[in-house]
Amino acid sequence: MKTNQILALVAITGGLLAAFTSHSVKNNLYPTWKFETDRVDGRKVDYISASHLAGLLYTKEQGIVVLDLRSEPEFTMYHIPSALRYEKGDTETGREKSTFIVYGFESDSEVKKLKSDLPGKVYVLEGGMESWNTLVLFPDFSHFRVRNRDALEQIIRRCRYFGGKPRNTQILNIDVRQTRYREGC
Amino acid sequence: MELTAPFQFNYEIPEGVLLLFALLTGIVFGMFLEKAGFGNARKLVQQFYFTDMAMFKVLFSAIVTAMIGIYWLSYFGVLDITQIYINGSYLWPQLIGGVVFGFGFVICGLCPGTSCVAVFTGKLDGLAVFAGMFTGLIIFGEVEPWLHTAINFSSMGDISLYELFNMNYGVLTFLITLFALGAFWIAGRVEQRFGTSHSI
Repeated sequence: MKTNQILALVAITGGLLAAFTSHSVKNNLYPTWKFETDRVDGRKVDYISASHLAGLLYTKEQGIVVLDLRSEPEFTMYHIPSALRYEKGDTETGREKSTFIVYGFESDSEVKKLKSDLPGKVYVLEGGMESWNTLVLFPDFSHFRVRNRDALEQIIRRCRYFGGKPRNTQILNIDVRQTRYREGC
Repeated sequence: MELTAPFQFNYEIPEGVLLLFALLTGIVFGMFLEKAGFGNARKLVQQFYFTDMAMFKVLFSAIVTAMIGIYWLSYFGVLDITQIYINGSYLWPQLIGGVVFGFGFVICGLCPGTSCVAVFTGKLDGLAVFAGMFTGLIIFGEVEPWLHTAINFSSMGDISLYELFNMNYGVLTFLITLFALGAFWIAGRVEQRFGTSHSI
């Protein structure tokens, strides 16, 4: 068999297998899983950034549940879209999912307890609600150090999708009223 | 600085190392272009007379290799596909730009990448194309604010083919692979008909 025939066979096999696999990529706006790891009381804790959580929610990633540990009034006032309120000792909320993203806890020991209570992988929202507000809902462009215009436009699109409002966009010389920005939840 | 195709490493890579990656990739890329004879305008221009379709085949090979490679690397979590920079699609400006580029390619016998190779192998025509390319870039940079409306006309966003056709990413990968292999076969037949090369 000639070399180019072997290469063609490799390409067609790679392509054919691709056709029968399910790829999780749904759009090019957000990265999927990206997290940092830290240790609390000697126990490993995985953090997920607000931007990456926004990406998972935007792509309607299945199999995850966001749990809000704050008080009921705080939850009612505002919570991350799709988040469920979680109270201590709750043994039912979101149990059908395999990955939990938590925020709004008061102490590290709560995280430790959650990790043993919840049946799947637990990620902590890095910076909590404050991070969600500053990075996703109300990004301030005077603080951003982003490499290109498309990336900046993506941040604006994401912000609009979650019902927020970007700040200091005038320094970018981007018309934020452009119709190509999609509105989401 | 970030790579445009970032791999998911669990540790921070120093900027200098990233630059070194880019430099080494560029050197190897240039070496292969030269080795394939793509620094030579006469060889490149033969594809427009259907006598040597090597450039066409190399480009399609690169597309298929990169496409299947990106698919599987991202499938296994090595490459974060969502972090890859995608140039926005602007239908009419890019269509017109493509025609202009095609004319330039036929007239000069070189494209931007191959002109760089030609310059560094001491070819004067390569130097002229290289100088023209940078002059054009500078002029475009200066007049871009006035052309803003025309450039952004028919903007389709950072769209990929599987999004445009609302298809499964894997199925589209397979279809493009089939298309490329079909194109190789046709290119081989065309060469046999018009040229001297007999291999696909």
